[in-house]
Amino acid sequence: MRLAVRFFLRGVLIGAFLSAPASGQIFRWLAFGDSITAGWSDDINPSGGYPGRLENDLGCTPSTCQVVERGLSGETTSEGVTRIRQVLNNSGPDPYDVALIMEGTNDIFQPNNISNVSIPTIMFNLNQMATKAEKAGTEAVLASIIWLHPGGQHGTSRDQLVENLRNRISSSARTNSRLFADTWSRLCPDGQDQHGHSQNACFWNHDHYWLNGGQPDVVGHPNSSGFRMIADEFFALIDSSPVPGLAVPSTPSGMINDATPILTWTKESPALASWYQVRVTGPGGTYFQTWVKASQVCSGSTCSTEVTPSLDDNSYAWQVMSRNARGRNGWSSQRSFTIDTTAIFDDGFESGDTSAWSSTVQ
Amino acid sequence: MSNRFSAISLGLLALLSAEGRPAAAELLQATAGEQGLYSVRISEQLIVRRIGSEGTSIDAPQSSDLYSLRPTAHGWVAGGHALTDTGDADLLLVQQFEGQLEMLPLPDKGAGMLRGQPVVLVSGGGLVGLAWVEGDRQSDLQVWAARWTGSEWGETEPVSGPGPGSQLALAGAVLEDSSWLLVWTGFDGEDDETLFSRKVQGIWSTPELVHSDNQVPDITPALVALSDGAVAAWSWFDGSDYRIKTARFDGQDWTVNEAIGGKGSVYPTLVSTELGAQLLFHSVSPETWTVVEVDATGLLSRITSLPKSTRSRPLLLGPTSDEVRFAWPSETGMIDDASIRNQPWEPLR
Repeated sequence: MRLAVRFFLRGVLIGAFLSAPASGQIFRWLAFGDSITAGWSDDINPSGGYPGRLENDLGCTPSTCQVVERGLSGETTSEGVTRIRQVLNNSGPDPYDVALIMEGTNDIFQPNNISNVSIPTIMFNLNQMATKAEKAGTEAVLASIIWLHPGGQHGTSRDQLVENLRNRISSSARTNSRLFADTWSRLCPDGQDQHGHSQNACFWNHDHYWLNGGQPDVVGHPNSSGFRMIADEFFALIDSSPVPGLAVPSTPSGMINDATPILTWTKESPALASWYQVRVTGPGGTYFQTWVKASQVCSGSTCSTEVTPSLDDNSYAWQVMSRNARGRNGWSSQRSFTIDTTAIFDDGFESGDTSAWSSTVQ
Repeated sequence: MSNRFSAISLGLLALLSAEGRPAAAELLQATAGEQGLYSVRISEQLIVRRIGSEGTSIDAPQSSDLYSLRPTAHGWVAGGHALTDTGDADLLLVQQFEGQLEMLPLPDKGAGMLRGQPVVLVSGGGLVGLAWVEGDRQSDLQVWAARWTGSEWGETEPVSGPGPGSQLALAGAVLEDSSWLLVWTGFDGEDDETLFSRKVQGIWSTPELVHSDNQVPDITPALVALSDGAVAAWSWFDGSDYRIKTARFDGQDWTVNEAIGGKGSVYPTLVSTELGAQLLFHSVSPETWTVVEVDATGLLSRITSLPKSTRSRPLLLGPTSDEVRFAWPSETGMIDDASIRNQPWEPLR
């Protein structure tokens, strides 16, 4: 009886801090950044910006998915590092599925002709934001910032910084297995100018930038055409991979004597998931539930994660859910296991369950 | 060389856009108190003003900004940047001398195509030097300085030399002993640190860290001279958020204090007062403007915070014995009385 009470209390306690099963939740992309994310200069759909366009492109309905805009005008990455945690913490019962992080313009655009913050620090801050998102179970997508308006204040020295930052974000995203949305290249592709000279388009084509009272906007806010292109870039990235199929739970199953079992599953085929959610349920509810990044827990087609803190002796079921930036699948089939830490041997030796054995001899 | 500025002003809408709304923007405050000195950019105008008096409107060249501002015995001197006739950016140096506005000549360049962040160095009631950052690109800036004789510039002096990355966010002051002290952010190959160099009897010291080496960014330092040394403040990443670090320079060494401020405390400034200085910064969580009183010896004594209703930087009208007075300039650059907020001091624990 004492044991049963312990189980019950633990189930209530842990369950209170865990999210509900995600399969029934709408899929949510968080659009995090500054005034450009806030859609501040959208001259056709005021404050619509790219999030609204992207949500429409993704075919969201209120019951299926949502792009949540959390842009703050004037914000620098040093401030965003703190605010993103607040935004993530206020995501409701479930974490955002994906965070689209596009910030840095206000770091580079400071008064005077030289920025007060270096590119390494901006990069540090962006990686901190991405890491915080991932700790919350949210896939982080890093985006380059668009050029400051070349016809505006400070000219090309700032745009060298923007290009430098773009290259670093791209490299960092590769290193950290994160998606990279290259809005910089989307708005400013290499090409030829009106005179046939090899030139980045933004040197001479300002069609996608907003005019402030007829003058070039020195911050480099896009106009509705620019927002359309930013949404196009995010959509192309997100839609480049279909929603992953179901992953297949593998071990443990049956009787085990490990209170912190390692859950192992096989990737879906084709392997498209970038994140997995795993959960362990039992008589008291949900005992363990977490999102894990595929690049950190998978090797080849096999993935694993350890259940912590330890479970009490009892019977449990576990499942896995696959997710990428496009969407998530439902929960996989269940595997069940029973923990008996009083058992001397693992792998069903004492229960007679030989299913995990490589061979048996009569 | 006493050129009155001719006006072209075009690109000064910048911060209005960055904020996303029109307002008096980009405040630069040198001193607090009844005759406190500040500059504000409003739409196309740069205005330098004393609290409680009419200001001097600078019909600045296109895309001008001010970066540093100090009072002098006969007015004030300010450093900034402007676009030249050829469209390149260069320094801007302007002073008001007994009511007359003058553009001062610029020191020779160091070795770069690009220079900015000029820090005016004032001693004995007048300009004595200028320090700035310069490089071919924003990613390879170095610190330079030059001495002003009163009529011309001395040789351009390298202060920092090249580093593994950029050196920027320059701040500086002339100390009571007439030595020059500069602090800035320098990349050490791993992260940004707060560095300093001091010029004593014409010789710049080798740049050193203000604080012990670490693996997190230390950025955007501010500096103010006190009666017996100086105090620096900068943003330091504590592993999760930026906080404000301060350090006192006693003429020989730096003593670094415990971090202060809420989560996301950034962009500190130090404003001279009759009694010492006031440190101003804003925080993301809680969303506040915070002022810390720095006494004449560099000790941080009292603190107060005001909930942040705007991202625009407030003016500090000067300390009273019990409270701090915050204000925001109106769209004319004058202090809007309706904007004044008084906050009581609290002991800094």
